[in-house]
Amino acid sequence: MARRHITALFSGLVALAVSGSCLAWGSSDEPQTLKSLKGRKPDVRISEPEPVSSSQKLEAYNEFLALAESGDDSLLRVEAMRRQADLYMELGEEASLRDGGLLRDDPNQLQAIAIYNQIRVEYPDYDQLEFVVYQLSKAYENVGNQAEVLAALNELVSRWPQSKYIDEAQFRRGEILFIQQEYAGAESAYLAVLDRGSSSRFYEQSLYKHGWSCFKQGFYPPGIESFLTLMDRKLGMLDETDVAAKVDALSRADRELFDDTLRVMSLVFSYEDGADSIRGYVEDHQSSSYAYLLYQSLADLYLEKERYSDAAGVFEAYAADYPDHFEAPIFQAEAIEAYKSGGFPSLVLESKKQYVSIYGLRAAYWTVWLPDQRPEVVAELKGHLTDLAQYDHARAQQDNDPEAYAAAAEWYRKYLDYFPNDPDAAERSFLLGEVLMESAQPLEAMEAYQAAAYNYSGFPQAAEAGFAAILASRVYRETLSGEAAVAWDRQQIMEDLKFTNAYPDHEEAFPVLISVAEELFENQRFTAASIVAGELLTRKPAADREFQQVAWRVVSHARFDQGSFVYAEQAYRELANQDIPTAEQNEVQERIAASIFRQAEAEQANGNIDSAVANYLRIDDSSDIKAAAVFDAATLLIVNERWSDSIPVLEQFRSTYPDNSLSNDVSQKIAYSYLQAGMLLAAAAEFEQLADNGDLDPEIRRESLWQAAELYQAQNDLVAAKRTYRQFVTEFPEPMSESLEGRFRLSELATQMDEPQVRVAVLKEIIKQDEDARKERSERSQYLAAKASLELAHPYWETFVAAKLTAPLKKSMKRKKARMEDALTAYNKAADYGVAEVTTVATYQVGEIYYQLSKDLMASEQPANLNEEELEQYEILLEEQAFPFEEKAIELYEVNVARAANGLYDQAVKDSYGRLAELMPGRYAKSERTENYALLSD
Amino acid sequence: MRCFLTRILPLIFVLALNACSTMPRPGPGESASDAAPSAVNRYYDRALDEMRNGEDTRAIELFENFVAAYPEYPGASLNLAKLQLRNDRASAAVQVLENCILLNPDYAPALNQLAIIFREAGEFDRANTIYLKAIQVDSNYALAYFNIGVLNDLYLQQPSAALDYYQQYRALIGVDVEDAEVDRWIRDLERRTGTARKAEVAQ
Repeated sequence: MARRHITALFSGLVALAVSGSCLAWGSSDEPQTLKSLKGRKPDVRISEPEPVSSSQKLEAYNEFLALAESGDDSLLRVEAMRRQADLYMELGEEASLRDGGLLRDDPNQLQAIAIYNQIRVEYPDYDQLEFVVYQLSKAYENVGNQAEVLAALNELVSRWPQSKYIDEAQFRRGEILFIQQEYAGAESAYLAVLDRGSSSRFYEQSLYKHGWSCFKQGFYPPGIESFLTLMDRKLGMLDETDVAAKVDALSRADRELFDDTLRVMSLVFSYEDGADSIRGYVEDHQSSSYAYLLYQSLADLYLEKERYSDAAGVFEAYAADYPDHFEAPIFQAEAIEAYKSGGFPSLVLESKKQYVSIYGLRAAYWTVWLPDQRPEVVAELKGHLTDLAQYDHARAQQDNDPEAYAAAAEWYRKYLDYFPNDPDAAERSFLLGEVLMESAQPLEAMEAYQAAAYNYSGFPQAAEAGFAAILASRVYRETLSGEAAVAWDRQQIMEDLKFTNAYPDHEEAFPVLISVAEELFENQRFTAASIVAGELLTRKPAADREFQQVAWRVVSHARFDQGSFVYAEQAYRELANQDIPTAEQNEVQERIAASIFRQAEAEQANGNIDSAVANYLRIDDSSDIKAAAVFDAATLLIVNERWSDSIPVLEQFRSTYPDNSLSNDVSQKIAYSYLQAGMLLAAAAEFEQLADNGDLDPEIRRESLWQAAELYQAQNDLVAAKRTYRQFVTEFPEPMSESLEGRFRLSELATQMDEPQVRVAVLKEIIKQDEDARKERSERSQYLAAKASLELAHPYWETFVAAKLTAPLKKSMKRKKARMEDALTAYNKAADYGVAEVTTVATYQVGEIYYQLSKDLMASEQPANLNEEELEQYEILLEEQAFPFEEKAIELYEVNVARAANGLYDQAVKDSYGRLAELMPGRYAKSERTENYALLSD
Repeated sequence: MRCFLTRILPLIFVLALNACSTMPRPGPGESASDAAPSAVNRYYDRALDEMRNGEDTRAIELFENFVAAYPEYPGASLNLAKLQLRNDRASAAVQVLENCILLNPDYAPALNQLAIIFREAGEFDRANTIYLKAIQVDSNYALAYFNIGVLNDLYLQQPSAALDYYQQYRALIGVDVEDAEVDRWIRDLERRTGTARKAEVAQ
């Protein structure tokens, strides 16, 4: 590449000669040598050209001179001779041009020489002699007589040092002397021209040749000065790019001369101090635009001589001296090439670093130039950055050298900084990630990988970079803890998803997706976990079965844990269809059941009873929770009073799960449902069964038995009612109040069943139970006992009434009184309970006993064989016997009616009023009065 | 009155049809009594006849119709209540009487009848209060004095009060009217209360 640039450089130098038509490397296609001066006409005309031809003029002058031979007007003659000679020269030159003949053989030239020499001899004071000698030198030159030319010119410069032809004369002298290798003479001649100043048209040519003359003599500094002065004039005012263009436009011949010049200068520089010499020489010159040519040439010389290090030093010197120059980067590049050629890898490396340092896109160079103007520099920069990074990266990997890793990372970073949109930027970012990862910088590596993965398009390893970013992130995660770790996990998940979305076809996409889903699940981000896992399941082509299993596992568990049980069930069913281990299959089936169970609960909470029940019941029978579900379904139906619906569910439960711990509760529910559904006998049977269930709480058994008994009684199944009440009072004597109530119910049943003996027995039990209760006696127990006592007293009353007072009265009276005592005892016992309702009855009945005895006495069988008087006496005696009993009866009735004033006005009190109205009508036979009816007018 | 009639006319019509008799309507500007012996009177008398004849079911039906149409005539309510009482419908009788008293608060016979019902139910204090109300609204209504006397005599067992009420009753019906029974009660009470007073004094 360096070769190519150098070639371009020299091609640009060709332009240098274009504008210098008078310079040696001017406009001609032919090489510009001293010969090129041949035929040039000095601008020394003394008269205007004649309108006639040269031959006509010459003929006229010949005639004039023929005439002048006879006269002595010398001035006119010498003037005519000069003109004659001039015309010979012209005539010969015209002929040569016209006919193509050589002037060397032209007789006109010889004729002109002869005439000019004649004038020199015959007219030494001729005032145009200077011109004549000048013409003579030209004529000699036309015929190729260099010695005479030099002689004429020497004469001219010596006799007329201020001649207007002096610069031409000296230049021509220098040319002849140079050819004759009389370099000192030539140098002087050229220097004489130069002394005339830069206005001379031979100035630049003289500079050139003066330089060569000096070089030939080993006088390098003045020669170099001349060369540089010439370059100042030709190239110094050009822009840098114009210099190159100008050199490039040079013809091949001019280019060779130009190259020769550069080469000779380079030789000088190489003889001296190389680049330092250049730096010294050009110090006072306008060399900034073309100095690179000097450096290049010198470097090329060194390369040619395989002095690579020196060549590189020259290149680097230029780059250092002219950092902003258009070509400066090329030189730095050439230095690198030189080091390469010389086999100096370490120097190559350092030089490349220098290149990056100087021409990195943040360097000062780019404040002058735009990258678009220097694409080759940009390319070079990229190449060096790449090389440096690869070198350090490889070194780092080999030596595990932290410094090398850092260096490699730095090169990659520079590349990315300089060329963020470069096609290779993605790869560099990826490599940066690799370096950082290998040097234990996972966070930075992750960022580099992410950039490679997502910031560019068309990077073949983008997916790999994305996955590498994930791995780096996870390595970094290991350094975190606490909130930072949690926050990182959250971010990581997003990155993972980004990867899987961007590179769904990457071989790690599914594992990453699964990993994300699992992490989300572990973080209890169930919705997100479900979505991510669901994403995997929808991917085409489908993930491997193993991944699908995990995905379904996450989806199902996540949906379950987030309370989305409908979807959880669906997902679990999908999971169940996978080829999963038996243990998990069992667990999944339970989860399906649990999902349905939760759906049922939700429906239940929303008041959708039918849906809730349907869900409870559709749980698979094999599930552990099926029994609970059926139970809950039944409970729900019960709570909502759906008795007829609850019963079959409960019966299903009992038949399916006879040994279930809930079966007892179910039996209670069945009983309750029967009860509420109006299936009272069935309910009673259930309650009775519950009472027999020894596993149940005694209190429940007791209540169930009572319920059964009540139901039987209500349904008029008296036998069953009697059985259950009897069982109740037997098995559950406590609490006393309830067992007593049971006995009361038994007493009622005995009446219903027409079992008076049984009733009597039960009533006695009631009384005894109340007596035995002692401190536990209650108003109720006393009431029931009082009622029982009252009832048990009644047979004594009937026995008493049934006892007839027959003659002999004494005997029958004794028996009657005995029965009376029994009845009084019984009623008094009843009254002793202090139960008002019983007391009034007892009081009334006692009154009745006395009243009855009074009446029975009066109605008793009279003794036989009494006469009328005796009979009258007997009746008086009877009345006297009966009256106290009647008084006693009235006293008892009044006890009762006295209770009315205190608000006690029951039937016994009313009956007492009745008896009193009967026995004491004046006092008690008083009734309210009212209108029989009202008329319309009332 | 007019508004009330307008309101119940449809009911009357239906009831009348059911009763197979036509409830008489007073003419414009006249009351039922004004029209007597109007159709209204005849209707009332017919009901009363049924009552007297022991046709209680028929009588109840007729008086119910009448009371619905002419609640301002309390006698019908009283008769209806008596019919219900003797048919063991004490609660219905109370309802009829209370409605009657509501519309005719000064109708002492209804109060008297209501008090009797409460006395029979053992609600002596309430009966006492209603008797007093009857006396209040119609201080010449002798039966209220008689009955409150019985209440205090037998049930509240306040012989002095009973004596006072019997005496007021006796005074109200006048010495010209013979009531030996009450006179005997008064004497008995005077004796008993005198004994009681002596006992009190002695104590």
